[in-house]
Amino acid sequence: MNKKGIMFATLTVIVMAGFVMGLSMRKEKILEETKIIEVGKVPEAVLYFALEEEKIDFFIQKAVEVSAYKALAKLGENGGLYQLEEGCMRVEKSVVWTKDCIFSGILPEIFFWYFEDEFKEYVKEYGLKEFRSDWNKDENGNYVEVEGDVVLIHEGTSYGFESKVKYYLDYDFKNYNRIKGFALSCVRKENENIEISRNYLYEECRDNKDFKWEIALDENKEYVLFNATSLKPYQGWREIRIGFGLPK
Amino acid sequence: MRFEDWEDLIVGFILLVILIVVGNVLDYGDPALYTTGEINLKDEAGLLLLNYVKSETDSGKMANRIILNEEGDHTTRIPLQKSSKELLGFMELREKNFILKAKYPNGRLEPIAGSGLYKLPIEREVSLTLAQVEYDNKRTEMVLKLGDGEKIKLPSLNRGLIIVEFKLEDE
Repeated sequence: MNKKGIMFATLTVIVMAGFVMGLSMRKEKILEETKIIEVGKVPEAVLYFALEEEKIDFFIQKAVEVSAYKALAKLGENGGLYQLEEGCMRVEKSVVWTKDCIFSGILPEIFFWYFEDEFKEYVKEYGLKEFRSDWNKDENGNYVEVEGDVVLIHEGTSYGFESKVKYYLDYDFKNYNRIKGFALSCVRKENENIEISRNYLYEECRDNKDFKWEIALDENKEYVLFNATSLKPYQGWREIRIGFGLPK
Repeated sequence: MRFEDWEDLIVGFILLVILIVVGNVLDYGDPALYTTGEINLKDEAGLLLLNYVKSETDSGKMANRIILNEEGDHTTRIPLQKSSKELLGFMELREKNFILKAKYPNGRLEPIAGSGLYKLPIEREVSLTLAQVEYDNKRTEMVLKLGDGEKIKLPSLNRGLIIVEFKLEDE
């Protein structure tokens, strides 16, 4: 190799070394700007996010189930009403059903109002952002649907996902009309037999096997107070009790 | 082949080796950028806890049974403790030190299951030796307070959230 050749080859190596060095520095700068972290951090973060996502999804599922049960229980406690409107009254905590104060035909919607109150509270307590919720009906029955976006942050890395639950309600709102029919019939029959028996036994209701009945008169003996409780717990939680009063 | 050609070939080869070495040192020389770092898999307890609350036994889902045990009635507490012990035993945790407990919004803390050092009082011998006292203090603290174990939250039937904690001690 002549001198020119050696010079050219050496220069090539120097240029290449400079190029590689420049490229390396640029890469380092990009990594710094984009905050790409060590490769090992990624699987750790992925595991953390996967576990947290599972935990949150499970919580939302349980919150929906518990909220549905609590909403049914509250609906029952309040005789199928959301708020006590004008013309309504309570006797010993029971709403008295009269011609002007009775549950409406939109019981699933009223149930949903109670559900929303309960569910929102749980989501807030967990520290999650607000979830959207809605109710609807299809061939399988009434259902509630909740969905919300969750963002998790772990050591500077963030991860977002959508949590969504669809829950079918295992409850027949026609129970309210059945119970009302039974109770009115019991009171009427008891009044017809008043000359024969003054014990206020309301036997027809007590003999009914669809619900567990508790019947009592109020302190002034002006109203009959009923508690009609389901025989089985609602989806493994507790029994649903519908409480109300009727004029004697 | 002439002598100059051999000379050129050798010089070219040497320069190629230098080029590769320089390239490697500069481009891959910084271990901080490409290292796998320290991957710390602490998720064993988290996965076990998640599986536990999601489990379903003959008498219902474990999460539901924890929720229903809020009042601490013996009709809910004893079956919960019994099935939890069986379930966690099935998860091959018998030989490890672990404690599972739930804290309810009313402030009540319920030890649900424990093993080894943290066996629940009902499962332990009544008389303790002096040597046991020291770790018994630690155990008492572990059983009666929430610690740094894996946690999962459940909705309470009353108001607020239930915190279920599972602490699995490193072997």
